[in-house]
Amino acid sequence: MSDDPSVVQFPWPTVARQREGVAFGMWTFLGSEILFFGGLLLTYAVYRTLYPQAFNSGSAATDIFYGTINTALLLTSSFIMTMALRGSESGSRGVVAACMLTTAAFGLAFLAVKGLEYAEDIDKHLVPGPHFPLHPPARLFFAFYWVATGVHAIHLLVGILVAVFLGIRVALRQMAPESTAIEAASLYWHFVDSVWIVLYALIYLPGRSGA
Amino acid sequence: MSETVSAAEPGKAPEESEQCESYLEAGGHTLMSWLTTTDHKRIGILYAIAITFFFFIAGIAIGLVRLELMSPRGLFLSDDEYNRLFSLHGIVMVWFFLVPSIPATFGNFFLPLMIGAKDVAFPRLNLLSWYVYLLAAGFACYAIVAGGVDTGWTFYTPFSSLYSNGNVLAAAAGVFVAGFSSIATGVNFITTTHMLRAPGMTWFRLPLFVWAIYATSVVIVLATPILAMSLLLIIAERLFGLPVFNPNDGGDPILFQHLFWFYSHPAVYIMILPAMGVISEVFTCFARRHIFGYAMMIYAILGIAVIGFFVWGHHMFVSGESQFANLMFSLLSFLVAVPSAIKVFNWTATLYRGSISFEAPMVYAMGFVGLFTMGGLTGLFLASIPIDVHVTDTYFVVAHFHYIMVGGSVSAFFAALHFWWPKITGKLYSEAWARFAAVIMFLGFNSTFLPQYIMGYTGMPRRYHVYPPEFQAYHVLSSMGALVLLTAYMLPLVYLTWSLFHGKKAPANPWRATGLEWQTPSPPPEYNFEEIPRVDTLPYEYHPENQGGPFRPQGKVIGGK
Amino acid sequence: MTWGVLRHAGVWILLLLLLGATAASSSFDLGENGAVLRLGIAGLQVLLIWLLFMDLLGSSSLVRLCAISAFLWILLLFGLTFSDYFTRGWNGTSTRYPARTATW
Ligand SMILES: [Cu+2]
Repeated sequence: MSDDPSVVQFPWPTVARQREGVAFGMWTFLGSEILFFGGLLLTYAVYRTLYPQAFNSGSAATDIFYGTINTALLLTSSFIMTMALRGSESGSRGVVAACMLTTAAFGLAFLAVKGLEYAEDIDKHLVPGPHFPLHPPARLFFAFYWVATGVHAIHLLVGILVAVFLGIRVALRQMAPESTAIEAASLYWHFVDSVWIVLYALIYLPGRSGA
Repeated sequence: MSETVSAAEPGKAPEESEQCESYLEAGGHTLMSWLTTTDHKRIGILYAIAITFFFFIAGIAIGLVRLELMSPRGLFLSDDEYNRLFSLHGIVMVWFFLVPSIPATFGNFFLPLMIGAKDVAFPRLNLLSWYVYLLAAGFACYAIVAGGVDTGWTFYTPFSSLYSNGNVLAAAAGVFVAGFSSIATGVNFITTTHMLRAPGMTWFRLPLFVWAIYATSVVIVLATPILAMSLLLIIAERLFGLPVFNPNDGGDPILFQHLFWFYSHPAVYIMILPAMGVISEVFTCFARRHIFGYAMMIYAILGIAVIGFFVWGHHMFVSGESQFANLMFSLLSFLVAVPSAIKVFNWTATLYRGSISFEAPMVYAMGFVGLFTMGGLTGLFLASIPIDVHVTDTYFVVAHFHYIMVGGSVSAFFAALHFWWPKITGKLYSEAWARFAAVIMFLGFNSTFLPQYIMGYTGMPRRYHVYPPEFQAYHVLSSMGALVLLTAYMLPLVYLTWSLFHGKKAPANPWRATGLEWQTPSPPPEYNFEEIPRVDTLPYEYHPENQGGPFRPQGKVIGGK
Repeated sequence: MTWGVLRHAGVWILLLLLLGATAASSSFDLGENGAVLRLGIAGLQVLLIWLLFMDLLGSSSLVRLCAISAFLWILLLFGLTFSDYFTRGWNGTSTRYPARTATW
């Protein structure tokens, strides 16, 4: 990895410096994202503290099957993303393109499953509204459910678009496989994955033991 | 001004260079060349144009409000129109003027110049953040044109989420999107400061303006996402009926206030820290002294940035927060006054035994210190629970934060504008007019807001346009002051524009200042420096001992002369 | 290269096993311990992803500082907010939220 003119960008002096800068900039942005989701988790924490039973009954009404499948999908996609980054480090165009597009495919699968789950939720009137089947504070739980999974899905969609865009550009030789954008995209992808892990634990798992 | 433009130091301050094209020439004069630029200097100017537009929009709104308040029964506005006008003023001033004001204009323009970089770390992201700002502005304009918002700038639930029939959605979406623009700029500045400093530009050689912009960026990155989330939750509640803060379902409207003020108190520091950075640059230059307590100033900046996050509950003393939390937030709020006071004392000590001259930037900066001190001290009143309970939601509070934000930040904005105008445009403005405007601005400001302290303390609540007649004298005084202030704000628009066409050509370093930005030609070439400069000294080396000269630049700029 | 892939594959298997464990644990009644366990496993998974997939372990201290300060700020947000919620009604002058009048 020399100072390849197709990788180094203005105003960076060297590729190494640029790589460092891109990783640091991305982490700074992720710090911001952590707080974005942190604000949402705060509403969960406060209301869960105030209404533990209602939150358990809300959780029990979600579909753990879909949730678990989706978690597995995302974990796998993250693993494939690490291979894309490895390909980028060794400069192999084919590996980067293939892994980026596969990662995106797993993301799409996640969204498809999520769509099925949403359809069922709407069918069961789990959107807070006139026919909502649970006690009022469980409405707070489902408000969280819709906002959190919705915001996460939008993040994932952005990740998918970026992965497809980069994968195609690398495949078409419009972009060097060593591009620092690959690392930035992978950091973002893993982050979105880790948000889901926390949401999974908060949304799907509590209140299932019938206690 | 021309008399202060000395022939500069031989070999120190470079003359205009014929061979390097300025950023205004390079790339062309077409509109497209501006709209597609990734040059941080041009983007700074794009921001300046956008925020100036919004400054006057919000100014018109408050002008109508002040006119309405001339009479205790109101003059020409309905209750609803009145609510919408002051909300418009607040929302636009805070998020479309003050937050981006100094960082996105002067920060963009001068951060890379002052650290000796060719541009910010991510130039295209920089341009994108301007377009994101425009998108946000589009939402805000839609909200205004479609009838306005009546929630006040604070969007308090459950009014904003359940009851308001204004355009809360569009306004909240606008502020939400503007947040992304701030975050992008913040990430860019942080990365730039860490990664692109010139050789020799160590952390403890950075000009304080750079430190201030850096600390501001950190606050932006850590605080803005929480605002974004709180607005998103309001949007979810209004748009999809998801009950997040709805008390009927067990939701807690006070939780919204926690989220909102977690951002909005630090936002005060987003607005004031860059201003403090400007003042340090201006004071040292026009007192010809190095800054008193340079390291302490840095710690104070960082202290303000961090402690500023610990105090948000002081906005909620009467809203149902627990009494324990009240006491804790009160104590913490007193603490944040310490680093602010350190800064004021250090500025004063910087002036001591300096050879002070009163050029326009200095006059604005002097105004800043007085007004900021007034605003800061009355902030201590508000941190004290018994007094706060008495003056909550009165004009006392309004006067307090206007002393900080208008007396402080806007004065500093004008100080910065006059200080760096010759560098940005390559033209000199009329010094006499500039000083005149500065004095008028100071007087107009005080006559607008000093009466508000008094009437607030004696019981005039904010956000009402019908009020007991005993407050009329204060309101009339305040409205008259606002008229003077308006004149003062219009003046620079005129004489600065005039200077663009008829002003004398500015030399590279008209103030004989030490920063790297002054060692490159005015206006700077496209990539700032022909070669990355090498920094070998502290900032603010005015009167350096054993150096023989009256000042010593931070570094030599190759190709500058 | 292959060694690195194997290591990441190992992490991936571990993540899936943890997922299985946490999903299975949800059907047992563990009281409040259950919540601790679930959040603990989620935290462990996130840590694995951050340290190994996102390579915080091999990153500069500057990058690590980013991640750490974000967490400190989350702590700050939660800590100061809960210092309000946990102390509502300590001295009887303000009521615990919410005043439980409704049937739920
Ligand atoms: Cu405050």
